[in-house]
Amino acid sequence: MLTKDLVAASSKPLLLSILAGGESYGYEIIQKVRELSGGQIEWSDGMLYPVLHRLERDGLIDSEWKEADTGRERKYYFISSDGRKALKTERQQWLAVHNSLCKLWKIKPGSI
Amino acid sequence: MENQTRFDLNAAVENWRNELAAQPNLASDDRSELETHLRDAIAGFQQRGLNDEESFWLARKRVGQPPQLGEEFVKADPAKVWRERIFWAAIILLAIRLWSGILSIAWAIFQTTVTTPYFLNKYHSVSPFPDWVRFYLPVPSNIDLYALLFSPSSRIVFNFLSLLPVIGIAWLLSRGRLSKGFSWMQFFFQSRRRFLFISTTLFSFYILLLANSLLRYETQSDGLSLSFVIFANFMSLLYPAILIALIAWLMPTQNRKAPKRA
Repeated sequence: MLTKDLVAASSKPLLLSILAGGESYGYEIIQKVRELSGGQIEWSDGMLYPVLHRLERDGLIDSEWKEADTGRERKYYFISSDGRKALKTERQQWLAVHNSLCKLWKIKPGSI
Repeated sequence: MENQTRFDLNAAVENWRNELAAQPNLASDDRSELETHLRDAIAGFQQRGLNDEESFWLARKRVGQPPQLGEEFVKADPAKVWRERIFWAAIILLAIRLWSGILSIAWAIFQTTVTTPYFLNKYHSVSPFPDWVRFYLPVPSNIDLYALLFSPSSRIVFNFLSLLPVIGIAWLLSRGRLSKGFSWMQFFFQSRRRFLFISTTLFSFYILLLANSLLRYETQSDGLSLSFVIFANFMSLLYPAILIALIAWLMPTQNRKAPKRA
């Protein structure tokens, strides 16, 4: 399990990366994160939305209510061009941290 | 053995929604977003073979406690709830303004076509009821009736009664109870541009009517200078104009964006 600080810090690159792969909605995002991390990253469902709303307010993502295949309306989020730019810098920073740690721990980047 | 009292999933979701609605920090948009999440989570658990009741309680636990949700949501956007409240207040004030405008026009028409000719008719000057009715029943005379209809106190009562439907509809709308019957209202609020277009069209039409009546005013002047009357009338237009601008400015944003497909 990740610490609280790390969950908070990593939510932005994770959300932007998921949405860079296509529009999505809250429930699907949480399932995806759980699946990707093998249960290591456990987001509490209700806390995801404030993070999404903050990103939206910063103009990194947009949202739209749309009818889903179930017939009910769902709020879909998609990444904006500003969001893609932000994702690029996030990626550089996280890889910098990752590579430094890998060097210190004498493991090849990419092999956990 | 099966449960004695069957679990009603829809009622449970409805209860949960009311609990959310009691949170002052959650905007209606946030609440519907959380509700779709709850329903998705319930469907997810059901697919894994859990029954309705188990699915509901697990999903509810996953989503979190309503008071905590309110706290977290308000941190993300502290002004959101107030934007929504002021938006609705402006809509209600504008609706009251429109409604009282329509009523005063209707009242004026009613007066000139029905009541005034009726009371001016000398055959009716005593009472609308025949003598034998008045002999047995204490019905008011026409003079009493006239006084009653046009007294200041009855004016207050009429004004109050005329506002009741507006207040009732506004209350129902804010609770989301009229969402089906009022879906046509979405037509006006679908985009900011459409709302501004429709309201400015109606507004300029009203200004034209007003200008027309002011042009006629000159001929039957009664002491007040024309420039003062024009000034007073156009100042009274300022109030609805401010409300319209406020509504357009605070209009919820989620339906305005054209979807961008990746």
